[in-house]
This record gives sequence, C-alpha cells and structure tokens, in this order.
Amino acid sequence: MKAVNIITPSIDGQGLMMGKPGYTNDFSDKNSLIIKVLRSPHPYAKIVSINDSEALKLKGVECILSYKDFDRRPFTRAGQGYPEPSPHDKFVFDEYVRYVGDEVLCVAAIDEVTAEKALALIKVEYQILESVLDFESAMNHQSIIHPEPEIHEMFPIGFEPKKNIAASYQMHIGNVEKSLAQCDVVIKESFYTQAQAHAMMEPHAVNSRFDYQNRLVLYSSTQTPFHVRRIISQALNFPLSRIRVIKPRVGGGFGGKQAIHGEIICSAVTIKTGKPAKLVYTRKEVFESSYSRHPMRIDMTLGADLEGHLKAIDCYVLSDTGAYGEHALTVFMVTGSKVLPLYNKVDSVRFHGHVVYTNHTPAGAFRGYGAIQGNFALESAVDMLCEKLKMSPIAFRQINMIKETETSPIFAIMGEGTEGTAMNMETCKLEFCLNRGLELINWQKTYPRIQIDDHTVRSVGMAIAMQGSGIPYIDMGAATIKLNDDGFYNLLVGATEIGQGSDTILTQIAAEELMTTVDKVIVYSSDTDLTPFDVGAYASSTTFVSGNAVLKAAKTMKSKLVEEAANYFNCDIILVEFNGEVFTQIKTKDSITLKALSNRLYYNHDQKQLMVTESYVGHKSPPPFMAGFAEIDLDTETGEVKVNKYVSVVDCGVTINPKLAKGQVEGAIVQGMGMALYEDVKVSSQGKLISNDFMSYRIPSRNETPELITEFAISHEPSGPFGAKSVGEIGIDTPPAAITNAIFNACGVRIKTLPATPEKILMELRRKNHEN
Amino acid sequence: MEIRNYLVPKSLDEAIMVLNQSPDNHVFAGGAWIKNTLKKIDTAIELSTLIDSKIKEYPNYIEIGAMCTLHDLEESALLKQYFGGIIAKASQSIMGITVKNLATIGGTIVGKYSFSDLLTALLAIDVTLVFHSKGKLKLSTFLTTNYPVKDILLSIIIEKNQTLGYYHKVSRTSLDFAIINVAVTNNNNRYSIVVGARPGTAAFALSAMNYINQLKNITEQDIEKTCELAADELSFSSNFRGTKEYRKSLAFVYIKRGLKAVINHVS
Amino acid sequence: MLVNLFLNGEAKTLQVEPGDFLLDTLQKNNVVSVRRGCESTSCGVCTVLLEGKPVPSCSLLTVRLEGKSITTVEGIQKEAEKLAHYFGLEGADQCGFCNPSMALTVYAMKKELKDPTIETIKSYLVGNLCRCTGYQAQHIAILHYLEDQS
Ligand SMILES: Cc1cc2nc3c(=O)[nH]c(=O)nc-3n(C[C@H](O)[C@H](O)[C@H](O)COP(=O)(O)OP(=O)(O)OC[C@H]3O[C@@H](n4cnc5c(N)ncnc54)[C@H](O)[C@@H]3O)c2cc1C
Ligand code: FES
Ligand code: FES
Repeated sequence: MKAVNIITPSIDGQGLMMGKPGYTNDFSDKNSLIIKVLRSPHPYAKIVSINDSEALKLKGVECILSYKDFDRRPFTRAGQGYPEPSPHDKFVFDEYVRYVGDEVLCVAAIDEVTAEKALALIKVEYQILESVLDFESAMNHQSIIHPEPEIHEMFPIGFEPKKNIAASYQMHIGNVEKSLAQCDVVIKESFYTQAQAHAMMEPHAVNSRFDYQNRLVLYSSTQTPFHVRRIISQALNFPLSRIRVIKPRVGGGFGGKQAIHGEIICSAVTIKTGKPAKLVYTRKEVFESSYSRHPMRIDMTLGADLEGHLKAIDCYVLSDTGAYGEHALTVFMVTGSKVLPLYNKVDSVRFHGHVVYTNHTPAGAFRGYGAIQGNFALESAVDMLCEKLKMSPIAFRQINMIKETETSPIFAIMGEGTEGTAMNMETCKLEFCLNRGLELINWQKTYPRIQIDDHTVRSVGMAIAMQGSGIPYIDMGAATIKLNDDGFYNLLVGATEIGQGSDTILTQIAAEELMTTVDKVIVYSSDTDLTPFDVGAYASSTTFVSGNAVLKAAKTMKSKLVEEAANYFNCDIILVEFNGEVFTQIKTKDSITLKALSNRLYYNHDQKQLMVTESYVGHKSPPPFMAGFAEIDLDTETGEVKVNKYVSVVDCGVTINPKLAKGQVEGAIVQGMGMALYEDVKVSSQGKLISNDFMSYRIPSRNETPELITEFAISHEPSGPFGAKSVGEIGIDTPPAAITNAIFNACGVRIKTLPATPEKILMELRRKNHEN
Repeated sequence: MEIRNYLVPKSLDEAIMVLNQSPDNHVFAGGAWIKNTLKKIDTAIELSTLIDSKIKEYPNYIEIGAMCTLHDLEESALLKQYFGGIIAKASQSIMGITVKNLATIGGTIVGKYSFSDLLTALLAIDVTLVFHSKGKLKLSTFLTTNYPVKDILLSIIIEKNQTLGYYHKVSRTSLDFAIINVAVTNNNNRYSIVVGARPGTAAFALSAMNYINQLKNITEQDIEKTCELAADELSFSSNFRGTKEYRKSLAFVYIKRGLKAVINHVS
Repeated sequence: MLVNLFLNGEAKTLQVEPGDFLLDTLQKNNVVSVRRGCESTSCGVCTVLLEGKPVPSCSLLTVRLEGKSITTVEGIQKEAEKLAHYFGLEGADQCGFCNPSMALTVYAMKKELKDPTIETIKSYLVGNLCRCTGYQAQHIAILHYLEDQS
C-alpha cells in the first residue's frame, strides 16, 4: 500500500502550528454583535418577571431575547439521526430554569463590555422550586423537573417525565435469576462514575450572518453540522434551505460538541437584528452550561461456577441526564451493548435501568459514550469475582472473553435506542492483545505487587474493552470526488474533522484507491452547502462509515477515469490499465497521462466534469477491541498513586494512519486516566458546579502522563475500508478499571466510586487495617 | 478587567502615597493573581520600574528583589545550593512556565495566600523582608500581623548558613493547588517545621519544634512524637481538595519524611 | 491610552484601555493565532513571548508593555514549521488549538535550556495543556526538533 497504513503527517498540522486562521472565531465578522447569556443562579426556578428596561436603554444594546420572544416548540439539542432517540424537552428559552447555568435570556450588544453591563442591569425575579440534586432519589420525586405538556418522545424510549424519567429500557436473555441461583460464586456490587468534563481546549463558539443571498450562514465549532442545520430549522421554524452551516477547524470535541450549543441563540439574534453575531462560551460556561459525561450508578451482579466459567450477568444502570435528556437513552444503552458482549459465553444476561432528570448540568455525548462507565463496573466486578474464586484475572478472561468468529446475542437485541444488528466477530484479536500486553507490562514479574520501599508498593492491573464502528443502518456518510484539470482531485466529505485526523485519513483512503499521493487529493470537510451529507463525528463512525463512502467514491471515480481513457483510446475498458498516473492501452501500448486526459476532458474534446458521489451506511458495526494494563506505584501512607506505565494493545483493524491512530489511543488513555484519578466533579449543596474552571477541575498535565506503550494487533476487518475498524473511542474505556484493579492489587482497597483519589484510598486502607 | 488609571510612579514615595489613597488602588507586580481576584481597580500602580528583580549574592547573605519571578527562583543555581534547595523546589511546584514568568516573590509574600507553596519554604528559613516604610521585618512576624497601612516590599534577605532543607507539596495534579505543603529544615540541629495550605496560611508547628529542639539524641520514637505534636497543634480544615482528617494524616507523614531527610543521625 | 511596543519585531502603536489584556489587544488587531482557552491563567493556550519569555497574554495588561517586545507564532514561522514537521512525523498534532502556544514555548525553551531531557521538557511545558494528544508524542517530536540543528 502506498498511501494507507504508512506514516503520513496530518495534512493540516503545519498550518495550524504556524497559527493560520482555522477555527470558528477566526471567521467571525469584525462587526459581529457580541452575545452574552444570562444564566440561572438557581438549580430549579420559575421566572416570575424579567425587567430589562434599564438594559435596553444602554447605548449599544441591540436586542434582548427571552422565552417571550419564541414560540413554544420543543426540540432536542442532541446531535443524532432523525427521529432522535432523545426526548424533545428543550425550548430555545423557557419560563423554567432547570440547573445553575441554564439559559434565562440573551443580550446582543456592540461589544463585550456593553453586553456584560446590560446583563448586570437586568432584574429577574424567580420563584424558587424544590430542586432534585441527588440522582438516586430523582425517580418519582415530588418535584417534577419537566411538567410542561408539550414535550414528547419521538418513538418509545421509556419517557415518563412525570416520574422524572427521561428514558428507560430493559432486556434479558435467558433467566438471570435462575442462572445466578445455580452459580457457585456470585458477587453483587454498585459502582459510581462522575460527570466528567470534556475540557476540549477550544471553548464552544459560533457566529452567524446573512449573506448576500439573504441566507443564514453559520460557522460553528460543532461535530455535527448537518444535525445543527436541521435542529436550527426545527427550533426557529426557519427554512432549512436558507441555512448554511460551515464547520471550520474544531479545537477538540470528544462528544462535547456533538449536541447544539450556542447555534440557536446566535441564529435567533441574527434573524432578529439582521446583523452578524457571535457567541463564544467562557470556560465557566463550557463547564457549567454545556454538557458532561452521564454520571451513573451501575449495579453489577456476576455469577460463575467454581471452574471460573462466567454464567450470568445482571446489570442495572441508573443514569443522571441532568436537566435535559440529550443522549439519555443511547448513552445508557451503550453501557450495556458495548460492554456486556465482552463475555459472550454466559447462560443469561439482563440489562435494565433508568435515566433520570435532575437539576444538574445536562449530560450528553462523551467519548466512550456509556461504555467507559460500563467497562469500569464490569471489569472491576470481574476482578472482584476472580478474587472470590481465587483465580487469576487473566486466566478468567482467557476462558470467558469473546473471540474471533464468535458472536453475542446482545448485538441483535440492543441498538441505538432501537433493535440491534446481529454480527459475528470477523476480527477479534483480543487474545493477542491480552497476551502481548502481559509481556509489555511485565505482568509475571509484578503481579500482584512488589514492595519498593517501606511505604511504596508497585502493582499492575488490567481490563479489556470493546467499542463499535458507527451505528448500523443509521449512520450515513457520503463523499464526493471531483477531478480537476491537471489531474488532481477534490474530496468533499460531510465527515467532521475535529482534530481526530479524519481529513487526513479520508484523504489517504482516496489516494490509496486512486493510486496517487495525498497531495493530489484536496480535502474539504463539512459545509452543508458544499459537501455531501454525513451524520458527523461520533460513535466512532468516521473511519469506518465515512471511510467506506470515500473508498466507494474513489472506486467509482477510478472506473469513470478508465471509461474516459477507453474513449480516448477508442477501445474497450478491459484493455485499459491505470496506475494512478498513466493509462495504457495494453494491446497497442498507447498511453496517456492522467494530467493529459484531464486537460483534454476540460478543454479539448467532449468536455465534461468528472465528479462522483457515493454513500455508505453500515450493515454492521465491527467492534475494535483492546487490552489495557497499568503499572502503578502506590504510597501506602498517603494513598497517592502514580501511574508509571500504561500499555495498550489495540485491535482496530488496519490502521489507516498508524501515528494518528496511536494518537487517538494515547489521548484517550490520558483522558481515561483523568476520569480514573484526577477529574473530581464538585457540586455545592445549592446545586452549583464548583469545579468550573481549570483551577478547580484538573485534567492530567504532562507530569501525570505515564510512559505510554501502544501497539496494534495485526488485524484486517473485511468490511472496513482497507481493513480498518474504528479507533476514536476505544482507548478511553480501560483506564478506570485497569487502574482501580491495580490499586486493589497494590493494597487490597477496592475503589468503586470514581475518581480514585488518594484520600479515598487512604481512608479505605485505614478502615481495612482497622478491621483486621 | 476594569481599570481607571494606570500609573508609572516616579518614586516609591509616590507609589506608597497613591497606594494608600484608596482601597481600590493596587500595586502590580506580576499581576497574575490580581487578574484572578479583582474585577475593578481604580489606579493600577506599576512596580516593575522601581523594584529590583535580581537575586544577588553577598558574603553572608542573599538578597532577592521583590520583583524576582518564580521562574528565576526555580532556576537559580545559587538558591539550589542553600537550604536543600527548598526555595527552588517550592517555586518549581507551582503552575507552569508562563505563570512563573509573571508571578513574583513579592506578590506571593504580600498576598499571604493561604494556598501558597513558596511561603511555606520561605517561612521555614524565616527570611527577612525589607519594606519601604516598615523597614526590616521577619516573615514570621509579617504573616501573623495585620497592617492597616499598605506598604511596598522591596526585597527579601536570607542569611547564608548550612541549613538542610526538605520541601514537599501534595496536590492532585502537578498544576493544582496544594492539598498540603510541608517544609522541614535543620539549621545546626535547630529544626523548623512549617505546614501550609491546611488550607490556612503557612505556619510553624511550634510545640513540635520546641519538643524536638530540646532533644540531645533523636530516636524514631521522638520523630513520631514530634509529628504527632505537629499534627495536633496545627489547625486543619476541609475544602473540596481534601478533608481535615486527610490533611492531618498527610502532615504527619510528610513531616516524618522531612525530619528523616534532614536529621543527620537518628539513634 | 497609547502603547508603543514591538510586535514580532515591528514597532506598533496601539490604542488601549488601561484594563485591556494583551490577548484582547492582539485579537482586536487581527492576530488570531493567540487563542483563549480559559479565563483563569491556567491553560497556556494564550502564550506569547515577552522579551523572549513565555507569558500568558490573557493576564498581562497591555499598558504595561511600553517599549517591550512581544513575539507571537507569526514571529517564528520557520521554527514553527520545523516543529510542525516533527509533530507530523509523530502524529503529535490533533486539533491544533494548543499548537501555536506550544511552538512559542518550545522555541523559548530551546533558547533557554541546554540539552533538555524528556523530564526537563515536561516541567518547562507543564503549564501548556493539551486535551487531545496524551502529550507523549509531543515530547518525542520536541526531542527530534531539538536534535535538528539545521
Ligand atoms: C492560575 C494560578 C495558579 C497559581 N497556583 C499557585 C500555587 O499552586 N501555589 C502557589 O504558591 N502560588 C500559586 N499561584 C500564585 C503565584 O505563585 C503568585 O503568588 C501570585 O501570582 C502573586 O504574584 P504576582 O507577582 O503575580 O502578584 P500580583 O498579582 O501582582 O500581586 C498580588 C498582590 O500583592 C501585592 N503586591 C505585589 N507585589 C508587591 C510588593 N512588592 N509590595 C507590596 N505589595 C505587592 C499586589 O498589590 C496584590 O495585592 C498561582 C497563580 C495563578 C495565576
Ligand atoms: S487563556 Fe488560558 S492561560 Fe491564558
Ligand atoms: S492538539 Fe488539541 S489541545 Fe492539543
């Protein structure tokens, strides 16, 4: 292969390093109105009155918009296929505010100082309502967070707002109770995960204006430009045909920009005033008023026989979607569907649970999308079961985990809020990943622990994981390839580059199929006017789904080229050979270069534009797999943990770009470590997020980053483009379980509530020593 | 930030005068912390043109200009030589290079920040402060006294000696504020123990120091006893970085490790 | 107020309010490469060089810069391009939002420190957050960049 599976620098890294304009805010109009949002200081309240007369008198204030200015039309901000599996429970602005940071109204003014001044002059009177801040008591709480009659589900998702339930679901295979009763060993444990913040470096940003055709044009830092266009149109009742959403470079998303953020407000201001406007979130708004990971309680029951055969899994999930239900059902379902099939040899499985509304910052999509929560619970529980069985956790996994050619009935049952899709694992190198990881982390030598000095123990811990590659029968990606004179191509994709490298790898795929080099394929991504449709960057779909679309388009382009060469040679197409640069008539040995042929096509003979568009929708979602291993040093006097090494052995099929794939894994590992150890979410008793800046919410810095050892299994997924599966999310899943398993191996303390802070470890250690 | 006037004073006298004219007038050293704490300022008074930022060596002492940045402190070969390098170590444990290129030792001391890492190290060797109006003053006195009139710190004087030092900061990540920080020094068998970010401002563990300083030989038990005394006498409380109990446990452990590091001989 | 300073070697006279921070001044003057990641001096994304030293432009009052020299990535294009080359080879660039600040800080480090190791690189750059890469690839790329004497 010439362009794929070789080291190729990203096509845009250099320009970005050199500071070239690329991000949303770089393209805002100079004379944009600055929008500031007045946000609720209360977790739950009804707006009694708004007095904005003083603010409106301020010179430079253009408009103030509140619920009074909009029709009541519920929608969901979730960036998902339509009809969305998320409840339509949000209004542009509402009479109710449902969390500290919720939108009350917005001010648009000529500059930031004026907008801020105006905000300070506005008086809002609230009737404070009883808030629900403990998600475990939210269900059937006397205080109902969404009492409004207009809200609805698009299809059955178990939506019961009167009970504060945003979604619910249950499924079972076999009879779990019966299986568990027959098991020799059973464990039942509850695990808690926190509302991790995405903390992408670029805050959410959007700007809008009317162009010379009187169309609304937005630049937005979004992962889902086509969903954004649709949702703006729905929410503001503005014709879809008059909206153009351009996604320029995005400074990190991780799911946090999958849902709508400021786009509707910004559009509304431009529609109302006719003027360009922009809205850039402050870091505090990013923390308090965008989205977080869904915090969950996961009750995991596992049963096995004495030989260590896992027989039954019962998993109940209670998930906190916060004030609105974006991705409520689907994240929760992934907690089962992309976790439980890891152990496919059980007699019975049950997965059930509820997603509840609370008066917290809404939760949404976040890399891992439920799987990291589920993985933490399952892979911790497996180690706990092994402890009880007195069995090696490695041997246990070797016996029970899913293997190549096998399947799990869960695939057919559970999908994206709907039924799933049955599939066999055509590629699953989990055994290799596990065994290779054992070597790389030096498991034999360290397991379970080595005493380093009087207060330091070194230990290892591990976990296995799986994810998906897009959502079968739902996620669609399309690609257009256009031939230019001089013989280079444009590749137009709806797929959304957000820093994960999709522009580069899609270019590589096109270049490989067209037998050319990446510099001959000029990629342009995500502009709803110019590029074909794509659902966007989520669900680990880009390489697999959009990549397949690009591959199809390149194949079609190739055959068109050969047809045109055959016309030129005046022969049958089977007589034409093409090597990417030159077409040869194999009989006559006549030849023409691509360059000459394209110039001929555009200028000289039978002129025409060659341009092809192809789409792809997956019929399955081949999971990537990995085994993750942590080596830690734990201070038994203070509970402090230092991760020395993290080994990842990943089966993501063929890596289109090995270095970028490695970057995806390593970046995700460190984010997962953040969730495991550092990223503590603190909410005050009044419901205010305290950890709302980088001083109080600590993401891992360079000094926390361990030695990262990342390898890829040799694997070729037949359904993937050039054998690729996905790699965007899988890396984030294992650190919570692998690290807490290592903590247990070091000192016998089992952390079941994330993050595993030194304080928790020390206090548990004390309690344990006290008991003994 | 809203600032009415920006003043580059011609003299320290002018600076002090303007500084005390209004509670909303402030001198700017690095300005890093002011930016994060104040929204409205009447007059911002420039200090950089009046105050030295150098670290100077004299035969018997070291003088650090109040405008010396934390980055210069952490990089100073001279400071690494003395007191077990605790001034450099404490500076190193704070944030990243950009903050350390702005933040100054003067701003750190005058701010008396309870979270401060550097104050803990400076207090352990009880440095001398040189103020424009007040003149010379021990850091320990400055930290425990309230001054109604605002003064300007010019420099910090540290007597050279053979003090051995230990410094440790515990934080969730290396960029975070301390859950606790500890400095322990041994100046010719006179021990100092300072704990900061409890979350109160750095303070001596006086009775623990008294106890250990009257011993002839120090045994393992004495060290334990000293740590207990320190953990008991210092006030600890809870905030979202850590509970009182945890801080107390950490103080105990790190004072112990500190003592072991600076005591020449444990019998 | 008027402030005279040197921006990437060029003398500039800028009209500012006393409370304006350098980041806002630069953005108003069309320097988009200096970006904002926070409001609390804690991400490093807004880094510029002040007299060659990395500082957070979001926290530095422009009025204080009379006569001073400020460098943004536009002032070190060659070095940024070279660093980008090594980042590219390691896959160390993802969203790129942190990268101009990285280029400036690495450049300052190269001038300031002799033969940095991975450990010194880490402690010099620790305040430059990156949420995408997991850092390690950056460190390897930076080492290669430092080895390149061309
Ligand atoms: C994001 C961030 C995180 C930080 N984290 C830590 C940490 O973890 N640990 C830690 O120890 N420190 C930390 N610091 C604080 C830093 O170390 C400095 O202590 C702080 O910035 C003050 O220094 P400055 O020069 O910027 O002071 P300024 O902000 O300029 O001034 C601070 C105060 O001191 C006054 N002042 C300054 N100099 C003088 C003088 N010579 N005479 C009289 N008054 C004066 C000012 O008027 C002001 O009231 C952090 C700072 C920031 C911005
Ligand atoms: S913008 Fe974050 S440090 Fe300046
Ligand atoms: S590459 Fe995205 S923040 Fe560093």
